[in-house]
Amino acid sequence: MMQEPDRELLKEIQKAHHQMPRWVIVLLLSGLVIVTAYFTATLLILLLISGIVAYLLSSIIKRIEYLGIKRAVAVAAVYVTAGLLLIGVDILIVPCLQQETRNITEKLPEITQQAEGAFRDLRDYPVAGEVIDKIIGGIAQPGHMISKMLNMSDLFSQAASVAFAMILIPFFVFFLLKDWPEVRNRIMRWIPSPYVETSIAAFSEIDILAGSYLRGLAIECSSVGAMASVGLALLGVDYPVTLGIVTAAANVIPYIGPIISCVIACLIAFIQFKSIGIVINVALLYTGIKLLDDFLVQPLTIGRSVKLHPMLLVITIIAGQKLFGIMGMVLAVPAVTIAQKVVVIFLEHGRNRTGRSEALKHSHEIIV
Amino acid sequence: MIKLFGWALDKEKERRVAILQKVHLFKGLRRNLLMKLLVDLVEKEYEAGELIFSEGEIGKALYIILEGSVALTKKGKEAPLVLAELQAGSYFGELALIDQMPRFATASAQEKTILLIMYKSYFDDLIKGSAAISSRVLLNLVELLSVYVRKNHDART
Repeated sequence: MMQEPDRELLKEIQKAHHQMPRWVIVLLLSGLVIVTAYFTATLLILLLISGIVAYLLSSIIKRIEYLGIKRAVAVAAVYVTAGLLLIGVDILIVPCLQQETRNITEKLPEITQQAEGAFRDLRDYPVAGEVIDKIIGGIAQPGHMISKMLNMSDLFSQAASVAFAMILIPFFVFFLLKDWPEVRNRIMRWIPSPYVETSIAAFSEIDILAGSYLRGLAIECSSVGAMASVGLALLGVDYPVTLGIVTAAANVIPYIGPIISCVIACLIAFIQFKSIGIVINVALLYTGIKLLDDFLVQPLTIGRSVKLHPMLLVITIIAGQKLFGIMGMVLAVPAVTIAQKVVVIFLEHGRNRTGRSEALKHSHEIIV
Repeated sequence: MIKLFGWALDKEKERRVAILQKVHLFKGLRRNLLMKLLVDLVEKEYEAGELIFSEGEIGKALYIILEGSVALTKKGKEAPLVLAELQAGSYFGELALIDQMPRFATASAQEKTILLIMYKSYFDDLIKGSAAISSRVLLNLVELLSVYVRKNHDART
């Protein structure tokens, strides 16, 4: 039997429907948080790294939750497993890295001399002399770099920052992972009803985009780093593991990263062998890796998640670097891609709302 | 084994999975898949009288009532008509998963209500994930549609 609803209740419903959206306040508060965070950039970077790590781990946590296990227990289980894995990495890879870094530290004076000698030899090649003068005169002057690296106060402050980050990041990650469903539910509670479905659409798209980008990037960088390590070891270049890690880390920055890592590897190889032949071999190796990455690894990992015009992509990276340094370069591309997608979703939402009366004409033709 | 690790199991999730098991759309799905649905779906709490969606809005999601009750009303010539009052374990807005047409009715919470919201892309992912799941869920959906068609036919004749 059909019932007539309470008119007062319906008025309240309509009033709530037309209230000023609370998401405007949330947006303003978020803006305030971002501006404050910009002025405390270190905290923002730590939070961003924690967010990325938490995001990468969240899919594992979800898989454990599918078994009906409490989220807190799933997070604890992942932490214990990650701890055991880190011990494994510490046993297998860290000694190799320590050996390489010890070699670099011990041989620094020798490497400096070799570098200067190599640069002197390189002067014999056409145009090279002028370029080398500029490099030595600029930031890449080996003596200046080494003295800067060996500045003890700098080293201590860097070590303190690393230790600070090593404590804070796992702390932030733990709570981000454990409390995320509750945070999400609270955010959902604040969103007014007319915006719920659009907000879920935005959440869903961000989840899909960020998920495919970050997980794909992690796999892609590891693959590129491993290929570079093996290739450099086969070419007989010193410090292949360290260079592989540098290549993997630099690969995070589109376009510019692979060029930086290639230049570093070429320089190390040239200093070691003092021959243009090895530089060509290393450059060929990095070109091969880049081609493999572009045509095989990237389509299988990141796929088409980033749909930015190449020109906009480069502008984004430069703007990211200017605003937030290296982390800005790394995060600018996914951030702009996500922002672009969210804007499209909200524009579509606006169109759907304004086009409601037109759509209503067809509503009588549907069943429910 | 279950007794040994009983402390690690989430009792609230178990209770909610039992509610999902009653949803016709997910009839025949295994418990682990229902648990996956539960973890992935968005939860939202509505106060008594709060609007969930309005008639004529483009629908993009299915709603499952975990707690509370929901009234579905339709604009009438003089006053809105109450089409249905749904209790915990019921669901509404399922056609939004197939097309993105305007909502036929207005939904509002009658009391403090907790809803699980399945956005269309989650549903698309769900049916793309496995042939067995997609055939089961789509079969359930076709069953529902056939009921709607018959009801509509009966009402017209």
